[in-house]
Amino acid sequence: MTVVAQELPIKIAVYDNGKYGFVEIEQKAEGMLDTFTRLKNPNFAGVARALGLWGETVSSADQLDTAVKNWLAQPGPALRHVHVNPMQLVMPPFMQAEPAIGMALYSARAILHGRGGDAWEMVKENFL
Amino acid sequence: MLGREWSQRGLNAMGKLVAEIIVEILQSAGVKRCYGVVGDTLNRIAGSLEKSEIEWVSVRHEEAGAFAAQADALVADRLTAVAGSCGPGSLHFINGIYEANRNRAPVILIASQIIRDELGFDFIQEVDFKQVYRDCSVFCDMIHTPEQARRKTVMACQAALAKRGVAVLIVPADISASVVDDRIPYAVHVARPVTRPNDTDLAEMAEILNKSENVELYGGSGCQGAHQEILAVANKLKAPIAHTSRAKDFLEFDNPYNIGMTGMLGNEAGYHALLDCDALLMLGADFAWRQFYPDKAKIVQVDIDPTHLGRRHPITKGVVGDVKATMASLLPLLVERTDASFRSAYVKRYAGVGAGQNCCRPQWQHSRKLSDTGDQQPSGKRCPVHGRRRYPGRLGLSPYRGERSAPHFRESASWNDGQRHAVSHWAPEGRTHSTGGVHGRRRRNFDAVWRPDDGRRTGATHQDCRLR
Repeated sequence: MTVVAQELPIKIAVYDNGKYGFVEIEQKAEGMLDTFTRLKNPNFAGVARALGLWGETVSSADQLDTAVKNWLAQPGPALRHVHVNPMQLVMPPFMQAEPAIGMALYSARAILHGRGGDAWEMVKENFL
Repeated sequence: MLGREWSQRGLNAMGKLVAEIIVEILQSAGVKRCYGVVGDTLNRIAGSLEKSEIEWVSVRHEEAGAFAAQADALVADRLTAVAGSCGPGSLHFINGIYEANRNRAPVILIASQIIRDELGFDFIQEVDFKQVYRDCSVFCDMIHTPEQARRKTVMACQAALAKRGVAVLIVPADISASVVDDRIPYAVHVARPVTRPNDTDLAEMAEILNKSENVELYGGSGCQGAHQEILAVANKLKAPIAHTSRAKDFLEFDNPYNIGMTGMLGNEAGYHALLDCDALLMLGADFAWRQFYPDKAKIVQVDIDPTHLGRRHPITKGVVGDVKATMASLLPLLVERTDASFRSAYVKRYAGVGAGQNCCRPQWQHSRKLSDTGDQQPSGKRCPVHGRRRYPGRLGLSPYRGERSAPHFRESASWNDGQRHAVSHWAPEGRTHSTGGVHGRRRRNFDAVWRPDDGRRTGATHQDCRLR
């Protein structure tokens, strides 16, 4: 709203993974199941348009290049809403034993809680 | 409109509206913008701001205004104002005010207040701002009488500029609407002294650095404006330069010795260089996470704030000074080196961090869908840069010399609890070790796969350590 009011041609990118992703990793690193991290997000592009910005959503990788060019070419304030993979891990510059053990613990717990699909998805997305 | 009427009346009575006095002083102290939300107790001041040279930036929530003012103050290096109405209005600034004060941003908050007559009787929207803001400001006081308005506003501006932080000026609505005789010329004085350590301290610093084999520079936000002097020192000591996130703007550009950041958001070159150096020269850096500091290296710290010296990690020598002036004074005392192998190893390693995104770990950088586009597929060959496992732990060895330096390696563990966990990763020479559940198989020792001195990259590729 302030960006529109101030007529600033700022380009905003919203990475939407539908959750508090880093918090989830913190929890998994401690061997917890993800707790209270899911988000039911709005269509941020629609929100942007309602506020008076240019706004558009992109959900597939092969459209990303064109989408980004189009977004940056807008003359005024513009918001690019990007659906990103919710299972992508954020990685520190090194790997330590405790988070790694925590992750293993999480995987075990996820499977025991009937959420083996989640653990498998995480492994598939990041290690295979 | 009301403000104009009042000021007109004020002039007629041969006095001045307090709101105008406050705005006049803000302007004289260099304020160009004021962020906030107008309303009730702030209206007089808003009226005076409207007539001044100061630009009013209307935000939808005061918290965003305080963050914006902080950024404005730091980027433009000048006093920036925020102003709010009484009660929840001026209370909303708090998170931005905490950060501005911690980041040494010269910001002044005009916290307008209910009229003095009602203070202390639990009036609607009454908040004791002095209690609330005391912990996150360098100045926090109320204007108690119209007569002290000029002097107190001057002191508030001066504190924010001299002590580098937030000044909170609480202004009851009846005071900003008062008209006073304004003849005593209290004015803001800003001194910008050049500070450097004394000669004994400089000599001691130089001796530590000259006697240490591999020196690493680590710059923080105090490096603003000191790019040239820092590079000259790095050049003489053949030291790589790592930086904090706040120093990115001051050290990353035009810097062939840059190796990025350490910490949870850093990269492996910055991380290992800090842990593996023999002497660490910290420049205006107050990086909070202790586990990323070296235990073995000598640490020399330069900071403009004496209370910052050695507060994160024990240091060998702390000095007080501007980074720019201190580096300029230190330079002639340093012995020129010829061996740049430590620096070039880490600069090379840092270059590899970026290159790695396109060679051996596409699936770590992008989603599966992206890697499926074809242009970022693994080549099948060993990665020329990595050629080893992805996140090597600090195995207490000196990668640039290819030898182990500390067999008792202690790694800090867990994500951000700030605790050391004394997890031993060390394995005897020649044995493999496992770090547990992520890669799911045993890996080779770090020193077996990283020998930048002879350019060889041997050992496991990432394919080898995938979970199968």
